[in-house]
Amino acid sequence: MAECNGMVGADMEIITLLKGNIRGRKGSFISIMLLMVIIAMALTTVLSVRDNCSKSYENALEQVHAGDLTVIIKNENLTDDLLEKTENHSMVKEVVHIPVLCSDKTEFAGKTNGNRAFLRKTDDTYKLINQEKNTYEETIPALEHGEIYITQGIVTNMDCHIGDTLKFFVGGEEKAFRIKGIVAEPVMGASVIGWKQVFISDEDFDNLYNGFSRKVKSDISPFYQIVQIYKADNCELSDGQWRRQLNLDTGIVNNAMGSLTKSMSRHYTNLFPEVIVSILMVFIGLLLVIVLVVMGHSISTGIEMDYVNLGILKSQGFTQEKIRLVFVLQYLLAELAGAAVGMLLSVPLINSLGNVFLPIMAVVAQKSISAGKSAAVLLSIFIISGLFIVVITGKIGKISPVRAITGGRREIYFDSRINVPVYKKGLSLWLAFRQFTAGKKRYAGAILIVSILVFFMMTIMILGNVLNSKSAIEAMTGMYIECDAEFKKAPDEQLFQAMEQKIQEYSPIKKKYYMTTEYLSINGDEIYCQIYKEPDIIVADKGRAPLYDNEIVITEIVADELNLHMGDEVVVAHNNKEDEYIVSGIFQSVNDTGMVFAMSLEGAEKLGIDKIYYAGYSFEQPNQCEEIARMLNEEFPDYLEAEAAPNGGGLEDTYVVAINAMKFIIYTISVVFALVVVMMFCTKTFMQEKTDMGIYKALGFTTFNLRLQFALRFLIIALAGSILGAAVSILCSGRLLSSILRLIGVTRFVVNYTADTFFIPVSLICVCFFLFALLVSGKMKRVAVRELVTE
Amino acid sequence: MKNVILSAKGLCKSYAHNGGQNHILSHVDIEIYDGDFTVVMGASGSGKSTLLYALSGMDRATAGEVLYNGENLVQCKEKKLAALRHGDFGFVFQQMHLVSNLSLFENIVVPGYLNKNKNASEIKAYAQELMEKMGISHIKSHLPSQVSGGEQQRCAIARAVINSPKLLFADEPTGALNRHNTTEVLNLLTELNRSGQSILMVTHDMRAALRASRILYLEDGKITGTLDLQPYNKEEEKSREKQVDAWLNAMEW
Repeated sequence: MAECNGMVGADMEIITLLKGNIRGRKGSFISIMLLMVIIAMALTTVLSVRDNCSKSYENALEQVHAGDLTVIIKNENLTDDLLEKTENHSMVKEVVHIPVLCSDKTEFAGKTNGNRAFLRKTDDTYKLINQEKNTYEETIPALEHGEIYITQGIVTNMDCHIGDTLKFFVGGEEKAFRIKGIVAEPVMGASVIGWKQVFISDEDFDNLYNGFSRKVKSDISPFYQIVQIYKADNCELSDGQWRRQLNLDTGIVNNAMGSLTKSMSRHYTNLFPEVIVSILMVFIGLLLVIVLVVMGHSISTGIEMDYVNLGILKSQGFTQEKIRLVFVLQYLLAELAGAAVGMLLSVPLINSLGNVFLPIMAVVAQKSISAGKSAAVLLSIFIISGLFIVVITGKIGKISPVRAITGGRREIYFDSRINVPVYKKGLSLWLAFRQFTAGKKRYAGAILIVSILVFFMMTIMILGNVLNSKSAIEAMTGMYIECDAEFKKAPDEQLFQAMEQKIQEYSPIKKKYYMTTEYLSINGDEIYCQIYKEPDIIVADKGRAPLYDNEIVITEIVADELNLHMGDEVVVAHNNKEDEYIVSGIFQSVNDTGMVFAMSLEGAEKLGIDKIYYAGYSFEQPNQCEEIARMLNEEFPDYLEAEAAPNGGGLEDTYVVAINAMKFIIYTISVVFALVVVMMFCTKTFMQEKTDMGIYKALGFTTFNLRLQFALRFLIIALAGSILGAAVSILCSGRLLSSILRLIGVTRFVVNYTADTFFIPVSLICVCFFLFALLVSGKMKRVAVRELVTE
Repeated sequence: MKNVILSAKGLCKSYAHNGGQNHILSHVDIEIYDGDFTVVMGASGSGKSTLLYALSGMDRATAGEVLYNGENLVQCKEKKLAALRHGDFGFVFQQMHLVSNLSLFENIVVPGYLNKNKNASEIKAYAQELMEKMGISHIKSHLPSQVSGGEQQRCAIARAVINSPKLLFADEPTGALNRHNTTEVLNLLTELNRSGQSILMVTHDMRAALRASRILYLEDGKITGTLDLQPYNKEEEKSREKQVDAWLNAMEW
């Protein structure tokens, strides 16, 4: 009992001190709490949105009973023998195939999408998204004649809506359908996946199918099968390994137009959310570093200012461990309160942002909060913070009770002096500079915080800039296309020459390519292949472009996935033909998230591929691109369809909007952080320098003079931090973005600096620091010269 | 007939304290003459420093008026008071209050820079001259923390007179100094006064009071006595001390 009472007594001491400390440092408590609110809110929202997207996507896959491998294959290639071999394969549980009609392109309101769409009968396992796009309808109504259900991916890519009429080009004929609704199709419904399934009524499908059966020639045959293959329960191979083995044993992938494993589909669909989440998580991590720096500063200055009180506590028998425990509890309590409020505030945010990725993922996300995961991450943040506080409060051990009680506190106002003169002209600025140089160590934390904010703001600027930068895209992908053309018929050399001749009348050609693309297999793995008539357009990062017909170049991602190196020999196969090739170099491509290789047309001819389907040009006079596209369509209407890309075929609007939204979020949080940090630093500095302020007032400085000095000092801090942040950005932004953007196939990120890259983040932070410091220094009015009076 | 440089009428200063009012100064009438070395004496807590700061406009009186050049400082705006502080008035504090991150020389020139009528080189030259006069020119680039209390106070005096103020306010300038430094500082102030500088000093140090040409006694927030003296002369210090001591005894000090 006595021991129990003793425990309570000891606890009460700490609780009493804790209460006193919180009361005396409300500002610090609130600031740390506020910063933690932002971190917890952002963290919980990001984690929850990611989890919700992922769970909803998995549910959608389950709902449609998606196969582990989806193969799209021409009717004639899916022979009974191939089907039987596949069905009887030991690693296959089930094979389901449905007939589809292939549309070569989709058109809406003058916008054409050259990716293939597959028209199929409606299936009530697919769920209909409601009008508000926030949940699913209970049932999916049957389609009438001329109606279709499409996926959100088409809506995003074509910018169409329910009620609009889309045109599909099937077997050389144009077929128009009115959009009745949007369904969740998880296998290839995402906007980042080229192929799309389109659902039409049974009646329309049968009519079209029977109609084409009678008249379509085989070379433009629209008859395909979508084959869903399910992995055997006992198969432990990954989807990729399983597909490779299945292909090696049956040749089904080699005979197909293309295939998509469930893992690939999952990867592509979650790709963009993952990139955004990764960037935001890095940002949240940096914000956490800022909170630690702010706490470190707050604790250090608190110990300096409370030197006497802490000495008195020591003289009364408090051990340094007990005092440090009070500090740990005080700041952890602020963090805990902030985390709780942040998690609560994240609930409405999750509700409103829950479906932010719908235009990309094409499935409706649930809106639950990932409380457990967020709490676990926050707990680890508390542990890190606690350890950090324990380290920072180590200096309490050095406090001498005797010196504290006798008032022998060491000088705290400055630690060193850089001998920069103080001039009459611009006196406030020179004094601000002197105050800054005299307390460099004290401002090191603030400089570090500014540098982190500026670094991240610049990184996001760089990301935004590069998406619209001609030189950066060219440096990363080899060419910035200003006009492309798709050939309707296999072109020949004469057509190329005629096209070039005509183009020269408008503008000299800067760069050009003639290419085709196919899914080919490398050692059994199906990989997207770019086949160039003149492969020297390929920019090799290592080695060289494929000059001979037995050479290929691969991306770093293919090299990693397939464990290939330059000089390795590989077997490339297509439609029962195969040959050996040597890896001559490494290049970069963002197609198929970097799972790409390339070869020359001569090389592809050995596999039976001899037709060029696409042409791309860039011009010395890029403003002529629209005229050139129009001219090509007029001059060669039977051979090609050309389209101008004045912006170099940049990213889709959705991605640009998403990146801009992310930029906005990051900038807003940075400004809020700047405000809190300035408030905390200003308040502490103000308390430390109250006497100096009184002296200046006694010497005849006005309050405005002093506020200006104060604000200028923080402007200097912001400038110093900005320089550091910019330097770190120059050194690290490219690497950071490369590591994140590797997800989409960018292994060598080319940083494109513009004046804005520096100017916008630096000026925003500097202006914020200056204005916030000017604002906070308003309390300078209350400093009376009487502070100097010793009664 | 001496000219009045600063005067106060009915000066009151009180503070809110425990729900009531604590009256520090009550209806003080006072005149400070040009060229005088006026000393205000009184027991601890009598309101000496409060009177000094109320007269200098550093603190606002609760009631009454402080007249300087025909203007009531009690009603002046902060900008005007700031201008007076770097132009017409100079201040010396008990705790010196030098700006810790400025060198001694910079501490002196900075208020000089606020003076728009002088250019920087004139201010620097005058600061140098003052430092030499105060015997601190050899430590001009030292920081306050690197010099003795006496040197700091001499620097503070030089700073106070850099703009050639009409009136120098000194609040216990020797309160934090040892005997040797006290004498040096008092000699400097006496020297300044001889050269025409008006000084109003608050002290409870008898040695400091001996330098005055006029001593005012403050008790319970009121001026209760005045003693006019001949200009200070070191040879007559003993007899002067007796005279002041007798007067202070009469004031029940």
